[in-house]
Amino acid sequence: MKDTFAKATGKLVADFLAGAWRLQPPAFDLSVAEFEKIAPILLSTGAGALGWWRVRESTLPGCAAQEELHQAYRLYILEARLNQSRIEKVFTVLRSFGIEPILIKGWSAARYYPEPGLRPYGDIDICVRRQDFRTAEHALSDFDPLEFKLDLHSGFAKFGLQQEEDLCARSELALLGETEVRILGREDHLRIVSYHLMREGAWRPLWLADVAAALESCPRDFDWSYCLGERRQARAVRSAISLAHLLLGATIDHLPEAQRFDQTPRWLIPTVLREWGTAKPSMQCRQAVPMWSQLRYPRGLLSGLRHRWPNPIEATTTMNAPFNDLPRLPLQIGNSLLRFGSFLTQLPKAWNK
Amino acid sequence: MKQFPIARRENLIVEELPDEVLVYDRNTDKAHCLNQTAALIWKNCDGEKTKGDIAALVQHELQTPISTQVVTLGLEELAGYGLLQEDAAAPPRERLSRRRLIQHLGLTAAIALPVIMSISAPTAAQASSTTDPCIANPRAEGCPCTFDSDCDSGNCNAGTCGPALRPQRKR
Repeated sequence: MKDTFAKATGKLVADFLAGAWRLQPPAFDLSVAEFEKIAPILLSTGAGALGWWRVRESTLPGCAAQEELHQAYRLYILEARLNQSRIEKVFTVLRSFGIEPILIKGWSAARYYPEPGLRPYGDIDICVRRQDFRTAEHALSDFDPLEFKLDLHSGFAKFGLQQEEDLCARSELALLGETEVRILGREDHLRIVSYHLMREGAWRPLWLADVAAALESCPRDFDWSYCLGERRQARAVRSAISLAHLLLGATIDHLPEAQRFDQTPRWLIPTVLREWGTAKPSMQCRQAVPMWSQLRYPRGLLSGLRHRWPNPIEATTTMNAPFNDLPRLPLQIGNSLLRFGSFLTQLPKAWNK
Repeated sequence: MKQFPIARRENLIVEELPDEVLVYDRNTDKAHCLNQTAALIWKNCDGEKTKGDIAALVQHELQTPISTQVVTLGLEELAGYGLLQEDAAAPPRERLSRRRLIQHLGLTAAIALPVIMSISAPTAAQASSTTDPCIANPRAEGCPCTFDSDCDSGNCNAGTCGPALRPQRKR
């Protein structure tokens, strides 16, 4: 019953966000009651501004949720401006140390939306070559962590991308304020937002909108064979593209027939809808309270463990398994064991924090 | 009230939207939203224009009658939010009340009144994956729990601390 309710709510979220990333989103046809039901989900998952973009031309008399979304939009516009100046500072400092960083996710995903405030981002995700990581850490050590929420990555392996030199060679420069920042090439950007979505269990609707926005911005000469070249990662990327098309109505006309997903596994869409329709998705709760913190404060341990059970999308992606109709349970167990092992190795360090 | 008001510009982030202006004050870490009238009054506070000059310019831009009283109200609001260079607020005897001004000008003219609104983060709009109130207080509402005693509110509901429940009255 609870599951059916969550999936029905998730479907409302999907219907509402269909095409929301476009300059002119399609007509809005949800009832006020339905809209008010999903507005808190949009706000809590960072899609509040996108939600407002969708309803901005609609008149919903006395609808407090519409004003809340409008407030989120205003706030994110200012946050985007603040973040832009922060990114410029980070690039200036790293370049003064002879490091050429690459900006991923965040701003580089937001630039595919009609306005930067529609796609908020809390962290500034920066990738540097593995050999530059220590120097970059040192260079950024003076930044106030309260003001600069930096996420510095050593290489791109975390995002399922192995060919560091290829990625750097295909990267491009984009103008941000008065600074040219380096971002991934379009093919790699689509790969990274898709893989990230799937690795995180697709719990945040905004991430699927990222895939949809990037997908619809693909130029004619987009290199699909490169984008979907790495066989293992391509499974997750294809599934993400498929989800963007089926759930959010993203156009895939330019995607060659041979590269499309033949048949989506029957668990894929229900898993996403369940995540989107839940007031507190497991992944969000998991990130909110790290396991080591839960061990220190054992209250809530049981629910903490429950939130750590991976959904089928996360398990399939992290275990590099095919997206098919075979049972996901072995993959979910495998993923849990791997994460438990990794947790044990990091525990002494976390305990001493 | 200063005769030639000057807008504060330093340490502000200003974003102009089609029908409003957003201002983020880096000194106070507060964000404000100015409607068109307030934004036009603020924009024209260059230290060279009087209230009368500003009223005429705003009236021209908005194509709506704007009196100096409206500008005075706008300046008071701007000063209250720290958006003027010096404290340009009027002495108490001159202070205008929005209600009195509406009574005086009529409801139609009230549409053109300057409005400044503070922008606060909506309930959960801060979507950063790193901000976590539960680390600061694992017993707060919304944090994971197993038993009622795990929550400040004494209400653990479906694995999450819920709001405090009203005690049942004994009959």
